[in-house]
Amino acid sequence: MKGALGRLLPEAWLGLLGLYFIVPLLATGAFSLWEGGSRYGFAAYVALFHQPKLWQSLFLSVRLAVETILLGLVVLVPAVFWLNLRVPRLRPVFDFISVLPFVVPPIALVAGMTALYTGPDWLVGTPNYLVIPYVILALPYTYRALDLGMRVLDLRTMTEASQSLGAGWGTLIFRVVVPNLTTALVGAALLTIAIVMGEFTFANILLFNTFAVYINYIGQTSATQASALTLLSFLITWLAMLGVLVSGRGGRSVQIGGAR
Amino acid sequence: MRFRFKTGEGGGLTLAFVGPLVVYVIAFLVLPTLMLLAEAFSGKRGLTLKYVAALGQGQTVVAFRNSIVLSALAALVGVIAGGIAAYLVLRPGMKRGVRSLVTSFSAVAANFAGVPLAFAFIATLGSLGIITVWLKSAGVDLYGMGFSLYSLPGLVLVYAYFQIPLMIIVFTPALEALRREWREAAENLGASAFDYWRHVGLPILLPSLLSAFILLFGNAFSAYATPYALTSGIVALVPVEISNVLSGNVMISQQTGAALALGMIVVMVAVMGLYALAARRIGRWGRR
Amino acid sequence: MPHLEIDGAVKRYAGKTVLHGIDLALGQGEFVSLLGPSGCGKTTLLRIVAGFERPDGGRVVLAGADITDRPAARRNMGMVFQAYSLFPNMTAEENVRFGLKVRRETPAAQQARAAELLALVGLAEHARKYPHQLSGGQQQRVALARALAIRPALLLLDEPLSALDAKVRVQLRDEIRRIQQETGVTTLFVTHDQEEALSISDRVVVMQEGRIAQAGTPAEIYGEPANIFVARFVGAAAELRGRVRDAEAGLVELCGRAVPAVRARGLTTGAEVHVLLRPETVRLGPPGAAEALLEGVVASRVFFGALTSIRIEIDGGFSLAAAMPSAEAGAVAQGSRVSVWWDGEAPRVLAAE
Repeated sequence: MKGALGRLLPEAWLGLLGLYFIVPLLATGAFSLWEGGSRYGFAAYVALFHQPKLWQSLFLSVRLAVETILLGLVVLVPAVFWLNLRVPRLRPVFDFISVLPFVVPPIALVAGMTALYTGPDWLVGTPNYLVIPYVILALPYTYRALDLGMRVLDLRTMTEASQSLGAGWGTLIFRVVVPNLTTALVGAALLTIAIVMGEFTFANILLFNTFAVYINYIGQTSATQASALTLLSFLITWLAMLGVLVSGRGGRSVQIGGAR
Repeated sequence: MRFRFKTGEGGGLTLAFVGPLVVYVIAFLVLPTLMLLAEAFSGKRGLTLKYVAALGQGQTVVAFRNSIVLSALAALVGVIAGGIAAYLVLRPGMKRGVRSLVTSFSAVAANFAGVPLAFAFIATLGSLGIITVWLKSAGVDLYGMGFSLYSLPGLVLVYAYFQIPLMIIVFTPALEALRREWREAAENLGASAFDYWRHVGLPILLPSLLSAFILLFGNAFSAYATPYALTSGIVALVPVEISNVLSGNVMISQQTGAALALGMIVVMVAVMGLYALAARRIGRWGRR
Repeated sequence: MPHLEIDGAVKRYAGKTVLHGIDLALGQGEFVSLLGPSGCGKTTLLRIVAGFERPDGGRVVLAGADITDRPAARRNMGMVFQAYSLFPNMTAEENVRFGLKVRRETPAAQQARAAELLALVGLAEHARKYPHQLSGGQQQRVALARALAIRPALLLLDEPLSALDAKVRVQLRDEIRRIQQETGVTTLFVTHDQEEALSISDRVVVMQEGRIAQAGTPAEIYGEPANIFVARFVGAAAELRGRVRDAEAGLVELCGRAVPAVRARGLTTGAEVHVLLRPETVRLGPPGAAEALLEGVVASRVFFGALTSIRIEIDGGFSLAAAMPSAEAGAVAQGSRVSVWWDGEAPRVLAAE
């Protein structure tokens, strides 16, 4: 299958593919600078800068990302730690659980959640509610990153050493294990950021004004400003992924998020 | 100390450490799914098959067919284009710089989806997009020739933007696991490149290709933001239909929405099941 | 006419020359080892013969035909790799049949040949197993059967034993030799393990930095190393600096004392030399023994089972090792004084560089 292609100039194939990936970015960039007619400039960017709603939505998304990371770690770190240390026989079960979010598309999950949880208002009425499904969306990636990270640690020796020095479980996990997991944790956190910053399904259905929802809203009114935000969004994804690649140097933990 | 943990308290501790995760997944993933099941089958007076049966009706069938065809096409394009790209990038002689550029760009592009992606393509190939306008001035009228970004083929073109990089990411480890010794041993025993791929390379890669296809299919199937921002309902797709029900944009009952969502899950489960069956047959040589 | 002839093979990578014009010929049915440390070019040379690398100069001639430009797939050579070269998606039998299958032989012929070879390597009962179900040693046997199935003009072995446990390694080594002799296939074997090379080969070619340092029978390589590199690489030896006292009489001077070394004859009197003493040629006795050449103190003893290695600090500043049967070594206590001597034939004398 590949013999024929090998002769058909692999560079041509890669070049064509590269073009497909670059052109939309360039076009978006050019579009964002368009000021009508044949005038080009930074009007769209200036206008956006003075939109308080943009900053509100951006901060909201950042806050949600941080909260998702924290809640995800609180739920996952003890579980993955224990799976690796004491009950490895349960690991297949949890490997299975961790990929369940793939089977239930976000749109189906949001339908189920709205049907099941209608209150209390202090929870479902604030944007913080989004953190709950976001942890589920990030679960496959966070679980994998943590599991891989802990697998390479010698948890048993580490545990025995710190317990022989009189440390309790809490001290052990948060003072000993977590600091040794920096790489895995940073990787998981950055993936979560990429997922949450681009997440649209839940926020749109539940009517919360996150960054992605705001981009969509702007798209209805100003195509040039929407293009500018699109580039900003690409930049955020790029920074997060750069962080993942740098922190996980040599690892293969690069994965995909959930903002389809 | 550790002896105490090993014996009496083992079960309780396991519950304390692993329990929260289990409870969380049950509360916010399993129960909502079961809720969909319950809602889809419950009418005003007890059980009913009305809503599930309604899945067989015109508009819904079209939406499911569109979603499945779109996802299968987008997965196929991703598997083929991304698979070849990954292979070419990994070939010996490819510059290291190109390899790391492709890897890092893939990580970004695979995550760059949803509303921004839709806008990027609208700015490029929409009816007023830069390339469209440019081609028109050069005498090529894309939309006049029947192309539309807001159609099924248009969606495949857009989906490819995150499908191809995803394929490159998940397929690269599988390609790297192809040992040079296999290729050389085959060559040494008199095999042509075709013989090698037919009897050795592809059979070894088949499970990875299959699982990559499934991943890409699911990825496209659950995509919501991209088609929402791109087509606004021109192409009927299940996720968009569900969102219409949930937002109350159309006069359809909640139960129909639940039935639709349940339908999506059923498709995903069926696809995963087929995959498990196929993987078992194909990968029999790899089991320990 | 030699069966395989390598004629001035040169190979460069990125401007660095890794093979400096290698000439080597293998007779029909001969078993030749390429021995050397990693990076000496032995694997590159093997890969040039196999056709995986193109030489930048020189020719490869097989049975009279120049095959330098012939692709690997048409050279009809069987190769066994270091490890993990079996196709994981095929059973042992399918692996062995592969070369015949791509040669479009009939299924019946394939099956008969595979059965014959699996029996030859002692794996007839494991024909239906997949590689991951076989041990490392079994996998290498299958690889050997697969390489032999095509009735190769040449068998190439690229460190096939290096990934195996010590015990399996010796077993399979002997078996490779037996099978090679039974089939009579001309064999080129690459290894960095001198014991392996000496025990299995008709001829050993020691390589050093892209050149042949010495080629000869195992006994020649061990007994008459051509230079200090070969002497150091093959077998253990004490290496003493001295000078030729009397070239005619065969005397060298060590620590100010004249000692016999027959091989000093023919060298120039007064020349700086290395004197090499294999541990098994060094004799020990009580202080003041009649034969004594040197005296010293026992510094340490290491027990190796049948043999015990004894390190002696010689008066005057150098040390050497003696190997003696453990049964006799009991008499030599650590810290005791001993006298040391050897047969005049024993020391190798090599001109210092």
